[in-house]
Amino acid sequence: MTAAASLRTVLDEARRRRKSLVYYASTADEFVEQFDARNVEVRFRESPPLGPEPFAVIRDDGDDGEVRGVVPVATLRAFVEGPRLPDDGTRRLTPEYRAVLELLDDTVFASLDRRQLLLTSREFEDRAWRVGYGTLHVGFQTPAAFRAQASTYRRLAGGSALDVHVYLVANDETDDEANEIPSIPGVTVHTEPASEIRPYWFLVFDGGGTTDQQFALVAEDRDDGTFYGAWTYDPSLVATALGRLPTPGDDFGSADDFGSTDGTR
Amino acid sequence: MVDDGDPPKQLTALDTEVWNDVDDAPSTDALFRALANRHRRRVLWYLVDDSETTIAELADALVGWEASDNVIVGPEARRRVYVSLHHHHLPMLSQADLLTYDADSGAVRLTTSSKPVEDVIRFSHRYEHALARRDER
Repeated sequence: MTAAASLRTVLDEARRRRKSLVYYASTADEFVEQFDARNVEVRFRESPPLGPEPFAVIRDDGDDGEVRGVVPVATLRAFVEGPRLPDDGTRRLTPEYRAVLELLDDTVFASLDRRQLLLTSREFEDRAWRVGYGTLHVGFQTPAAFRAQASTYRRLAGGSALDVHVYLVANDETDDEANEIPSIPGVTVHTEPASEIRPYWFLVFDGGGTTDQQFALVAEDRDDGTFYGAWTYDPSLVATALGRLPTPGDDFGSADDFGSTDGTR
Repeated sequence: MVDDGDPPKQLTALDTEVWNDVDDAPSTDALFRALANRHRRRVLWYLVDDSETTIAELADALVGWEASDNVIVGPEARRRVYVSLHHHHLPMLSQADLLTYDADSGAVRLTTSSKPVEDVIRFSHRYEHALARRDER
């Protein structure tokens, strides 16, 4: 299996995990359509007027499954309508956003936009940073996307013992400047093999050897500016995502694996 | 103003026809004991609008209320609400002849159809809502 195939497998496996979301409110609105996830059955349930603010109950395994959590719909709406980046220029996320990330793991969203992925990536980068060690794999798609995050990754790798591996694909049709790759201590950049991982925006963290801090965010570019994607904390799915990514000590030599580094270490 | 369906107008009006409608009503003490708890008031108010439901849905609704003030309510908190409904509130309301609760199927059904009882349930809910709004001001 190639690295791209194992990333795809994470999405396929997550999609098999059915969830249900029951949306309680006194009047229906567009939220049911807005919540566009492939493995979640969303239903509206009318509640009497003068009741609670609209809320949602999320269960595993369909209607009879265990309750995962209950949240105000406003919390979920802030995510599905597109979260706002903090005005103060910090990387701080709102508690609401964190709650969504806790509650909606293994949920396969049909169309995540770049802003949603950027904020979600921030949260996961922070988690890896807080652990402070372990291996973090990050798929940037293009050199330009990596350059835009260079200062973040300088802090991430410089301020921790994290072993960061970055994957990207140079564009043959543009000039050298567009393909320039920043050199950051503690970050190993992989540019081979190229085209098969081009569609994937991903962050996979091995948890520094413990399973409770592991995560994988995998999103597939749909060529229309949106991504089909999910995040997971499930050790077996994280293991699948890690499957074809180099582990510390690998010589990255086999034809199926990612190729050599650019020698930044 | 949100439409409350059928708001009580004059609870104490000397309308003999309405006040005869107490055949299946609980005793005065049982009714007001039932209404002396926030969870039970909410359960009764929910049932007045939708007389047949399940304990699972009532637990969802009660937790949904709490969720309004929180970012997220987890499975443990919901479990506690479910258990308190099952062991305490629903048996008590059933004893008061206000509803039936089938512990096997989870079905909950409002049994009283007394207009004065319905009015006092709506009244107590509306009163609580008004006080909550006052406290927000």
